[in-house]
Amino acid sequence: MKGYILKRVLYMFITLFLIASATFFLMKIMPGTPLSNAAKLTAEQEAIILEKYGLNDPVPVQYVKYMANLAVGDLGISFQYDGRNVTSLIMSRIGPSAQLGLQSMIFGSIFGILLGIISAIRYNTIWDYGATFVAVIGKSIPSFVFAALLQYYVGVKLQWFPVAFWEGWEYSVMPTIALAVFVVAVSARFTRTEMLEVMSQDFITTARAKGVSGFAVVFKHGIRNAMIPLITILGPLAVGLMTGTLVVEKIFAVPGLGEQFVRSITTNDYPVIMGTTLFFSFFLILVILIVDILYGVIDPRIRLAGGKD
Amino acid sequence: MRKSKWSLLLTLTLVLSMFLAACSGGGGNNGGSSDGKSGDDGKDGGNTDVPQVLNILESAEIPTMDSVMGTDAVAFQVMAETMEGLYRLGENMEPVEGMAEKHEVSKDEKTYTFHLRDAQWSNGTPVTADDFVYAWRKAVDPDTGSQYNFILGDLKNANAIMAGEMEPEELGVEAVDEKTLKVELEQPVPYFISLTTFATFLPQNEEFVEEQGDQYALEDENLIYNGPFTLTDWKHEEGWVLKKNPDYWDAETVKLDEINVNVVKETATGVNLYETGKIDRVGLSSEFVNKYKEHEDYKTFEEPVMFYLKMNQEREDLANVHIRKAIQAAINKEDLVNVILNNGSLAANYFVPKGFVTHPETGEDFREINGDLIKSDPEVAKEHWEKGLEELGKEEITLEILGGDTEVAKKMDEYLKNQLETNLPGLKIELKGVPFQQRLELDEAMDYDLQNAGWGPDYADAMTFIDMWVTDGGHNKTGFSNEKYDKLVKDAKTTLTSDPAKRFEAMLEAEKLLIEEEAVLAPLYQRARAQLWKPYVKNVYQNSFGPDYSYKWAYIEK
Repeated sequence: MKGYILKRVLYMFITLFLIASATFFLMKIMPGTPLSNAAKLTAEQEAIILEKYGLNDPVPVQYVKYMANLAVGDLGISFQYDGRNVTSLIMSRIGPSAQLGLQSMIFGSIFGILLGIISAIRYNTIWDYGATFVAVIGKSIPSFVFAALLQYYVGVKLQWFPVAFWEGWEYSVMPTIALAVFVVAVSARFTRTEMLEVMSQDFITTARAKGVSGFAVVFKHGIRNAMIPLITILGPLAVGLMTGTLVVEKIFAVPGLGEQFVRSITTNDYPVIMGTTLFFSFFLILVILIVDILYGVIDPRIRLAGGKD
Repeated sequence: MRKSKWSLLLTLTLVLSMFLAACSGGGGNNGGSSDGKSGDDGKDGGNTDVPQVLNILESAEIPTMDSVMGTDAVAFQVMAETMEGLYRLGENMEPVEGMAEKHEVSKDEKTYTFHLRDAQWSNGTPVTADDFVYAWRKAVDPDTGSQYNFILGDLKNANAIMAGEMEPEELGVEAVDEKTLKVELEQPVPYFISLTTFATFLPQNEEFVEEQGDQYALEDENLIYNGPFTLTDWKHEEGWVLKKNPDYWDAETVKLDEINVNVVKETATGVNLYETGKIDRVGLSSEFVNKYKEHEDYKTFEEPVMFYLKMNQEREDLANVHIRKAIQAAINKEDLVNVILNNGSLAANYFVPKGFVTHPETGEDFREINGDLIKSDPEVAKEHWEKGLEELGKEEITLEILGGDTEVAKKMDEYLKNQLETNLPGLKIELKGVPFQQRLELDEAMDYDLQNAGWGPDYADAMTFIDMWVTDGGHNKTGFSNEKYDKLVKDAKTTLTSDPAKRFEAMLEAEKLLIEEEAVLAPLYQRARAQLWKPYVKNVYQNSFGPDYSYKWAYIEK
C-alpha cells in the first residue's frame, strides 16, 4: 500500500509538471498583452514596460525562469493586481470557494442519496417518479440558472436570504443550494441504480427470509453496499462543482477563486493563470488520489488488484 | 412496512440536521455588517440626523492603490477619494483647490509655481512639495513600469526619461521649499491645471513609501491618505469602506461619514441588491433598461466616450474617399442607439463628444459650434458608393469588420453588416469578433479593414481626441496622413497656446477635416451610462475623465 501511494504521488508531480508546461506555452500563444492600459499605450511605450517585466525575452527563456521559480515554490507577482504575490492571492480566495464546495458536496450528496434510496425502495411509484424528475431537472439545468432564480425569488421576492455578498453563514445558503443541485441529481441517479442492483441480490433476499426488519435490510445491507461505487463519482463531482463555482460565485458576489481564474485569463495575467491552473490541477489530482486510496480501504478486492499494479 | 416509513422520516431528519450543521459551521467570514445604516446618529458631520452613509458597488477589485500605477476606473475612483493632488475635480469638472492653494504661470506659460497649503497625511506628517517631486519622478522612471506615465509627457525631459535616455532626477519638477513646487513644461499646455487632478499626478510621501518597501499600497494599512476619505476594511475582491478623514484640510465640507463599496460583477445581482434597498446606486446594462426606463430613479449620463468604425486606408478599397464616405452615410445610427444599446447613448455624426469642452470665450459647446458633420442617408451613401466603385473599377467589394467578442459587440456588428450590405449594393461584409486585447494587437499591426473601436479622454481638452490622428500617431493606425491636419494640430500645440480662442478654432477645423472632408472614421455613437439612483443621494458629481464620480460634496437627505 505504501509503495502504491508513493508511486501515485510521484506520478502526481509528473502530471503537474506536464500541466504547468502545457499551460505555459498555451498561455503564451494566446493573443494580447497583460498590460491593463494597452489601449492607450503606443507600441514603443508598451515595449518599455514589457521589458521591465521580462516579457520581451524569448518564450523558452521565460519558461525556464518560471519553472526555476516554481521549483522553489515561487508563483510570482500578479500583473493585474500590481505587486500582489500570487500565492497569497490564491490563499486568500480559497476559503469561500472551499466552503461552498464542501457545503454543497455534503448537502448535495446526502440529499441526493436520500432521494436515490427513496426511488429505489419505492421503485416505480409516484415517489420514484418524483425523485427521478428532481434528478433530471437538476442534471439538465445549469447551476447558474438556479442561482439566478434563487436570487430573484428567494432573495428579492421572499427576502429569506441575502441577495449577495459574503458576510456570514446566511450568505452561503443560496450559493450552496445552487451548486448542490447538480450533486443531488448525480448522486440520486447513481444511488438509485446501485440500490436497485444491491436490493435484488441474493443476500438481501436471504436477510429478508431470516426475518430481518425492513429498516435493517435497507440500511445495514443495502445502503452500505450501494455506497461503495458512489465514492468513484466523488472525483467527477468535484470537477463539476469547480466549473459551477466559476459562475455561481460571480452571481452571488462571493470573493472566491473561480471568478479569479476566469478573470486572470481574460486579462492575460500570466502568473495568476499559472498559479490558479496549478492549484486547480493539484486539487483535482489529489481528490482522485484520495478516492483511489479510499476505494482500496473500503473494498479489499480493489486493494489487491491495485497492489499487483 | 410501517417501520420503513419511520426509517424514511428518520433519514430525512438526519439529512436536514446535517445540512444545518454544515451551514452554521461555515460562517468563517464575519466582517462588518453590511447595512452600515446603524449608529453615528449623534454625529454632526451631516446636515441632518440621517446617517451619512452611502452604499455602492464597484465592478472589480481595486487593482492597485499605488497612484503612479493606476490605469482603470476603480483605482482612479478610490485614489481620488482618499488622496489629493494639486487640484481636484469639482462640479462640472472644474479643477478646484486641492493641496495647492494657488499657482502662478510664467509669461511663456512653460513654468508653473504652485503654493501648497498646510495639509497633512493621515500619519501626521505634513504634505510637502517633495512628496510631489518623489511621486512624479517615480512615475516616469522606466523601472517603475507605470502604464499611465505618458500623461506626464508634457513635463520637461519626461519623454526622454521614460525612454531611458535620461535620469528621473532630470524631470522638470522641483521643490523650491517645503510648500513651493516649481514645474517646467516642454511647451505650454493650456489644460495643465486640469491634468494635475489626474491620479498619476498625486503625491507620495517618500519616507513612508520606502519604509513600506514592496508592501506599499498592498493593504489599507500600507498606505497614508491626504484626501477627504481614508480607505479602511479593504477586503480584496469583496469590498472596502471609505471613512471620512478627520485630518483632511477641508473636512468641514465633507458630509458623508462612510461610503461602503462592495464588489459585484453581475449586473443582475446589482439590480437585485438595489431592489432590496441594500445599495443606493446601480449601473444598468441595456437588457435592464427596458424594465427600468420608466422608473423614477432612472437616470442617464452622457460620457465623452466615442465609438466609431476605423477605416484602414492601406487597403486599396478604403483608400478611396468615396467608399469611406459611403460607409459613413450608410449606417442608421438612431436604431443602433435606441434598439441595440438602449441606454441613452447618442447617435454620433461627429468625433469630439457632446458636453465635453466649451469655447474659451463664448462658452459654447464644441459640439454646438461644429454640429453634425455627416448625415445618415442611404441616397447619399449610394451616390458615393457608385462613384467610388467606378473609380476603383470594381463591381463588388468584400470587407471585414473587426470587433469585440461580447454579446453587445456581436449584436452591434451584425447590425452594421446588415446596414452596410443593404444600403451599399455589391458590398459583402465579413465579421470577426475577438477579445479586446487581441483587437488591440491587430490594430497595432493594422491588420483589419474596418474596426469597431472606441476612445475616451485623458484630460479635459479636445486635443485628447484630435492629436491621435496626426501622421504616424501612435494610435492613428488608419494610414491617414494629411499635412493640413498635422499643421492644425502642431499650431494648436505650439504657436496658438497663448490664444485659446484661435487654438479652439484650429481644433474645430481639424475635426471637420477628419470627419467631413477626409472621412477617416465613421462615427457611430457617444456612450451613455444608464443608472438607478436612490433619490435621497444628493450632490454626487459625475465626471467625464479621471474618476467617474466626486463624492467630496455628496450627502444623504431623507
